[in-house]
Amino acid sequence: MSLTMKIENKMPGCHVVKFIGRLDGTTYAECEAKINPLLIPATRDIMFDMTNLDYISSMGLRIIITTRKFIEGNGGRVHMMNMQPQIEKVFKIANMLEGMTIFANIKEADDYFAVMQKKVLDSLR
Amino acid sequence: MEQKPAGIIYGVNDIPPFRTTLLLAVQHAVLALVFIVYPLMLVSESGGTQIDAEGVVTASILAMSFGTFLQCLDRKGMGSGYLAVQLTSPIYLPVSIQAAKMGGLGLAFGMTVFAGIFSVIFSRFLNYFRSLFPPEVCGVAVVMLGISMVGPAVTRFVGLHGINSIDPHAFAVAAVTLALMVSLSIWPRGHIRLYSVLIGLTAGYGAALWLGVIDRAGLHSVMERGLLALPMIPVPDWKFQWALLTPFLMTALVSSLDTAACIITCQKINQSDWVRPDMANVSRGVLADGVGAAMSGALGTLGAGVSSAHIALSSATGATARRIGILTSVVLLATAFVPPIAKLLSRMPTPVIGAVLVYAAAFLITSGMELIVSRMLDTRRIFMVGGSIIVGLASIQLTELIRQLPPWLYSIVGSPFAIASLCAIALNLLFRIGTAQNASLLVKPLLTSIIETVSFFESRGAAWGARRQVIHRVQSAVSELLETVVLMELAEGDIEILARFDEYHLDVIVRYSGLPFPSSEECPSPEQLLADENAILRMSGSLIRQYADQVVFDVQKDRQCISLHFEH
Repeated sequence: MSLTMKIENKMPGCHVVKFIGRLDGTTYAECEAKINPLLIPATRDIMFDMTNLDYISSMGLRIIITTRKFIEGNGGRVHMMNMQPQIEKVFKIANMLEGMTIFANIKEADDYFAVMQKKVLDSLR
Repeated sequence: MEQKPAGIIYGVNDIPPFRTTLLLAVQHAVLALVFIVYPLMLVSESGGTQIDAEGVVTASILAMSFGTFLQCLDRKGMGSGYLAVQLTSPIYLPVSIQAAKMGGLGLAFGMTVFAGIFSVIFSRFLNYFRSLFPPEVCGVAVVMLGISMVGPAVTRFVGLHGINSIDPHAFAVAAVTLALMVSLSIWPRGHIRLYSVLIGLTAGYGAALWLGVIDRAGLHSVMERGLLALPMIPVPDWKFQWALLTPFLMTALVSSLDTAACIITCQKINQSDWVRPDMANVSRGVLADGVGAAMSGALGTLGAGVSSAHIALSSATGATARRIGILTSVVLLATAFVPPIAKLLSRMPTPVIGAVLVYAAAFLITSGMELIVSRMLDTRRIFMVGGSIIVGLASIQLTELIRQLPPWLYSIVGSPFAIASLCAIALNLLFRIGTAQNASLLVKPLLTSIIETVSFFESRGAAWGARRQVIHRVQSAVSELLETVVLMELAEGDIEILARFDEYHLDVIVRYSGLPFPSSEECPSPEQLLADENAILRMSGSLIRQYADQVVFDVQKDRQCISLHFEH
């Protein structure tokens, strides 16, 4: 009946946000407080790891929308990883899967970040 | 009949090219022949002769052919119409061995006919009796079936002679067979895992031949009736004993429920938009199962039932066409006209039988456990499940004491499967006393009430023995509903939650005074959502609809009333 969040900084401007538990009306304030510091122009990518998210309500969806609105508005991207079927169904009903990259597992996500890192390093040379 | 899911190449009503149909049918028939091991076990346990074994193998092939044809038929109320191959079932094995030990093979076959007739009658009332046999009760029966097979399986596996003497050659043959079956089921990719039992069995025959475990002289007689001949089965000496009626009826019941579960799986595989079981179709399938079991007894073999292994094969190959099933029954029938096949199968080495039984027992025990934990368990159910299994195990431990009981009582108490199943049914009924099917909760219009409501359904679900996934849907729907009511400040005063459960439905009514709930089915577009994040709250009704099977928004006595209906 609670939400645990783990935020990992993969590389400058890229964050992985891991949800464990329920993201609903009882936990959204706590979630919002942890995500808000990431909503800065320097953030290019946010990936939500949904592996252990059991339930998401409309208020939970609202946080994802707010994040997307800010990050995409600043030219960045929001991704999802390993959505459980019941969670994916909610996103489908809310028409929220369009324009988002969904990784099936951690390997796909790591491969993506490796490519991103290479691009950054190449641009610095 | 239904919409074909993405992974299915040939759906139930499709007509694949003849060559493809034939190849797939041969594959199903070969897999079916592997499971002849169960009737062979019956012959072996009852001290039957080689002639008995050959007769039982031929009868089994005919019974499987006949049963599969009926199951795939779906005509005039008979058969599910799915590709569901019938096998001589391990479910009938423990009671048939018990009967054969008491009065010979004829008694086992005669009682199987009665069990089949019972299944036919039961198929007509399946829906009415569903609440008496919830999954956890069936799970106890299936676990005990698996446990009952452990003794005979391990004895054959290690080649036990006397008390402390093990035959190392027999043990080596069994180990090779089991190691191949298990490793090929786990590690390889692709279709090879579907043939793991067949490959293990063939390797077992080879190892037995090499180590001299199999009677080589007997193998020379395989061709003595030629390559083709009319099938020959001895007329069974059917017998009936009242004392065995209860164990056989229990077996028929478990077989019917197992068939029902298999047919529901077929429905799920074949319908992309599957929501709930088509019970009329299940009833037709159980009817075919009963007729098939009665026919098995009449022909002189173990009762037949739908094979879950074949359903897995059809799903894995993406070919579930009914035609494949019909042709499988024809291929099986043709096999009965090839005597070397029956002769070769009837000479299956004892350690190979042991290895297949160990493999099957492992599957039965875990399938039973899966059934048990598919429902939420409270203290009542924990005692029902645990207590019944303890009673079954006690029946295995206290053999000498139980032998002193009168024959009618011995037939029930002496069968771990029968006594554990009866105990589970009785305790399930007993523990229902004091469990209210109605429950209610009054909560404040606060977000913290969501936590209270989720806990309320958790504890009620466990007391009712409800399906875990249904309770999860209820919790999700009611959480979404309360969240919107609270955040949009719709309620003036307390919110009332009423729930009513029976084995078939779970109904929840949420009532409050205040503004109507936003019940619109329209979802905001992605652009609207990005433009206004609060638009998401307007689609709460749509989210609730995807959790519940039916939602009604209404006003009763000036109070807003939202009724949520869930199929169970």
